[in-house]
Amino acid sequence: MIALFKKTSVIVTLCLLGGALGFAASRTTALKKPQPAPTVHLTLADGRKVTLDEWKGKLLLINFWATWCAPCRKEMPALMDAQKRYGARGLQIIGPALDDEKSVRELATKLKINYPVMADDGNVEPAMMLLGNAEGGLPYSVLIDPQGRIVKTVLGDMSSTELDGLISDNLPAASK
Amino acid sequence: MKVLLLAVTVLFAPMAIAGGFTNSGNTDTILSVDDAFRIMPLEYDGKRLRVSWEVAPGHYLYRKRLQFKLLDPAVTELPPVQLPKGISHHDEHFGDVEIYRGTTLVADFAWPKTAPTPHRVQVRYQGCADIGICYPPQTRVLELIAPTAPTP
Repeated sequence: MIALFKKTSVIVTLCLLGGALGFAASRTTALKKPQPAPTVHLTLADGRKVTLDEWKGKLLLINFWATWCAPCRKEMPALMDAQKRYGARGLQIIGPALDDEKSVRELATKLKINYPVMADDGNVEPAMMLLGNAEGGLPYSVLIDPQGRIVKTVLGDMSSTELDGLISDNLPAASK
Repeated sequence: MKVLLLAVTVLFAPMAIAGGFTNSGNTDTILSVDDAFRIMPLEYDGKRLRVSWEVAPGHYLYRKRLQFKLLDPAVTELPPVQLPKGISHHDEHFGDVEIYRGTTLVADFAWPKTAPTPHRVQVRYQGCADIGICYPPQTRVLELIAPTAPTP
């Protein structure tokens, strides 16, 4: 009986692990050769209009999200943790939202989001499309290397393990 | 040995399925919002007005995010919508919500005899996919092509 229980536990664990790995592998698109990121325009919380050049020299993770998107909110703690752990080593996360300014500001305050988030000024959805999200789903993350080239895109929420792997694999060598 | 084989099969089968479904790492086969929630032509038979969607397997629409507005004729308002009972779903961020998944969803309006024929209806809806993505709220304007024969 105990042996059967152990066998079942092992199988269930492997099944869950396999499912998790399968999902993780299915939504990430790694570019064979990093592509220069297109010019996109975003408006910071202080009203300043910027392009991605604002963060050139950093490993930039752009996380498109919205307050009405449950998977987006699910991955936020992992994003905040990553910003805290890797910020000093060159990571910068930014969060353009497909949402109005009030909703974004309220949630950012409530969750104490530790990276810049920006409301939709009309440019967020076009930026997301330009950065490769043809399906329009959220969350959508784009990893851009310090030279301003797109390295990977991920459609869907990431676990902290996935996020950790994505960042640590791409941090500049000197800062790993 | 049998246990080992079974364990390997169980470990890799979901990966193979997920990989096959999404074309091995390519996101092209993740459904577009219009394929995930296929909205059907507006139906009106003199007694009822219907808006319907085919919700693809693995996808769901939120009941509370369904909105309807009569655009033409603008002189009258839509009667209260009748919706089927959805599935109760607990979301850690949004609490208890009702969703419609993997089904034909029909939003039904009993049309008063005295009301003019509806020509254009604006519909808003929002939903997600089980794989952990949500689609932005969608707005569509549906036009009545031709009234259907009244149901007996």
